[in-house]
Amino acid sequence: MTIRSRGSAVAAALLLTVLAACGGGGGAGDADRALRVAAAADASSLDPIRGNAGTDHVLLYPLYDTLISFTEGLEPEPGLAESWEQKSPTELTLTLREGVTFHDGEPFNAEAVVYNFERAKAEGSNIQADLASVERVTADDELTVTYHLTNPDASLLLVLADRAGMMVSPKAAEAAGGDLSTQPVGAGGWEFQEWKRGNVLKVTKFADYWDEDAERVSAIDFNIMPDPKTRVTSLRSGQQDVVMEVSPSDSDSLESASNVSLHASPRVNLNQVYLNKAAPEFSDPRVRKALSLAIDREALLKSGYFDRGVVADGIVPGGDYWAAPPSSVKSEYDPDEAQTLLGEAGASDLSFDMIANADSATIRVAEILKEQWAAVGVTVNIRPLEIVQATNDYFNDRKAPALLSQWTGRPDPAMSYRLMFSAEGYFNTSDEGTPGLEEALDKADVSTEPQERKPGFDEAAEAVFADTPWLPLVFGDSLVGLSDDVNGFEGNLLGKPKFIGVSLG
Amino acid sequence: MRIFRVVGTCLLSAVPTLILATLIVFLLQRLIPGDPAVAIAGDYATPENLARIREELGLDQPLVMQYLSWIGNAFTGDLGTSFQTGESITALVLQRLPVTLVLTTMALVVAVVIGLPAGVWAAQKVDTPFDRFLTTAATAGIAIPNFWLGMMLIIVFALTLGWFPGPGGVSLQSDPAQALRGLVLPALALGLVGGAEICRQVRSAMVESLSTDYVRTHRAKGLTNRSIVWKHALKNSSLPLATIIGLQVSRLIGGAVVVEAVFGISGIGSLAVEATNQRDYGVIQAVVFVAALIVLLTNLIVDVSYRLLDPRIS
Repeated sequence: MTIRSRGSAVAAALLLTVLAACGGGGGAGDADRALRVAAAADASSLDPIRGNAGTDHVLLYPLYDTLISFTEGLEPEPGLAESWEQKSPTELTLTLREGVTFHDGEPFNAEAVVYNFERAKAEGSNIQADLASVERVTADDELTVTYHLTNPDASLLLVLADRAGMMVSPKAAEAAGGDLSTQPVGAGGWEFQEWKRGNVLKVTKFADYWDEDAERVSAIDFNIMPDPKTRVTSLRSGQQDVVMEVSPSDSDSLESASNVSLHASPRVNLNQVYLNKAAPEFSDPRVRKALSLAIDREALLKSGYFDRGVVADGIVPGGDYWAAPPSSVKSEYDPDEAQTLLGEAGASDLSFDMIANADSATIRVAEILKEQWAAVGVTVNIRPLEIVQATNDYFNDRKAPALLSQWTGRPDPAMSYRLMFSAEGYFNTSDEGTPGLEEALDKADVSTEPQERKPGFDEAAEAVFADTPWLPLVFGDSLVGLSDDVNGFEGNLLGKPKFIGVSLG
Repeated sequence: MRIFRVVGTCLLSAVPTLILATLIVFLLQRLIPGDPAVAIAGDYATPENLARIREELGLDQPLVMQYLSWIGNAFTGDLGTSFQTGESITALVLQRLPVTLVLTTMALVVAVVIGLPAGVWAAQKVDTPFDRFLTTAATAGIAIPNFWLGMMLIIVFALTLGWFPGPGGVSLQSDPAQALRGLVLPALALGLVGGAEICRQVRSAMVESLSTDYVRTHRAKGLTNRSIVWKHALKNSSLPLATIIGLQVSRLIGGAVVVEAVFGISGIGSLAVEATNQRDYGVIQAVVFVAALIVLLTNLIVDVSYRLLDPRIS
């Protein structure tokens, strides 16, 4: 028996060794292989007008070029449209790039842009609201189109850098019965190869891409890995080249590990407390201001977000961002003033419910906030809920007056201001607007030039700051893990990188 | 002939269990708070989009009708279409099932290969320090959560020693050899706990067998120890062994949900998690249906094996 069991032990050990030895090369160092990207979530759809998640873009950008592109700092720059001109506040003319073809060989032209616009406005599109201000689009000639607006809307330019600007091949869309969810055909740097839902999306380099000089890897495999720790260990063990959405708690370990690095860049993604200012607890603006003053954001950034980000003053980030709030908008920490304001508002013993996404990172922040508010006599009852239930209970059923969550940000600041603070904005549960905001945003619509829009956005930031309809906390950095084989990776303020310019080797 | 009658009877009795399982899941998932339309609308939620999605989903039908139409289609192999993607759920399940089946089979092999000899060995050395060590190790093994074990295995064998690939290896379809190699650590994480359970059960069954009169008679007749243990005592302990292995299959399928997440495997376990997060009712139901089928099939095999192992069972 002992001989036999020893025999099986040896056999098992041999099998393990053979398994461990076989196929050892993961392809590292082979510059012609696919770039392996671990994404946190799969695309909800590969049709730009049918998807619903902000995380889709990273998987969509390689397939679809957009009419307008954007710089690292989110300023508009030429994309499939090589230039644009605002002929009047309600007319935006785009001159399209010549010689662009879709992956199915069809030419990209003015007619295709008109088709894409009509498709995005039609039944079944998730992005009708993005194009609400556009009445029609006309093809002026083969390579010129004009967007005719019902009212001035300068945010249209960056809307065209988002889903609404992702051009699909009209012929392919027609052939697919209008739904390209599983068979995408665009004009991006890579064409569709294979999609196994929840598992992997494979794209390969498009030979006839218009920008021949652009650095592009031969293929990209997007591996879907929802667990953040699993993504990081996968990178560290050499299974991935790029890992999206590294959690702040894993960032230090990634920085100290060998053969990998951490790419941290600022982004518009804001951690915040949504408030329903129509709720009895928050109807007095002094109470909302007091809650804001009682938050020590620097301490929160350090202990809640592992120092990976910047303290937030408004709905858009400060720093070098072109639409950064003016210096007058500054979140201060003043617990004494907070207590005074609460006293004046007759809310010294304020108590309210706050829904929070039931993940450990959010609950950690909620506990810190609870402690900081307790210091000024405010009691908060944290209600941890799974994310879909949290969203449902707060935005639809309005079961609680506060929600600790995120604002994922939008390419154009006006989109964020309107969705969050206008009376009609879906994310504003009070159904009440912010005094002075609409007038300020109208001023930001006079031109498509960022510097001419800035004064309007300064006023918008001040209006929101004065009213305090929500509590901005921290802009979390975009944290991406990279293997040492990856060169040329660049983030952007939207936190949705494009892979043009990335190489392996 | 007898064996066919046994299989037939077991299969017939499995049908009501299967229907009951799907009914419970159907009702339970309707109790999960949260509107599927909210999950589907995601970042693009507007009152108009939500209304349109609710209408498209057809959730306005009575529950009884929804269930009857689902179960009717399920038995013809049509598991419906996903709320979230509009894709065929049958195709989705078939795409994700193979890797989970391979993983749980490998884990079962690990559990048996480790648990069986360890249990037999401990039973022969009962009440020695070696037995106590094995029993303690098995108890600890049962107590260790498999996600923790998985992370430890990754740290030691993938990150430190580099013997096996870390999480997120290649897929079973595109490179089977490499994928099998990538499944060794998850199979260990999943199977070791089962091995500990099998070890304990085999030990106690074998201790009982080895103390019976017929074993004493065999010894008196001069049979070798190997023959007594493996040929006679183990065969008489095989009924509890068959039971515990059958139970392990359902545990392994349940455990796959966690282990697949830790190792980044896109199997049926991770599909269940995604579907629950997205309130994709049809997919959750399909996953439970398939898992229930596998468990029922395993029970059938166990039932049949009882009759083969012990002719006294009618």
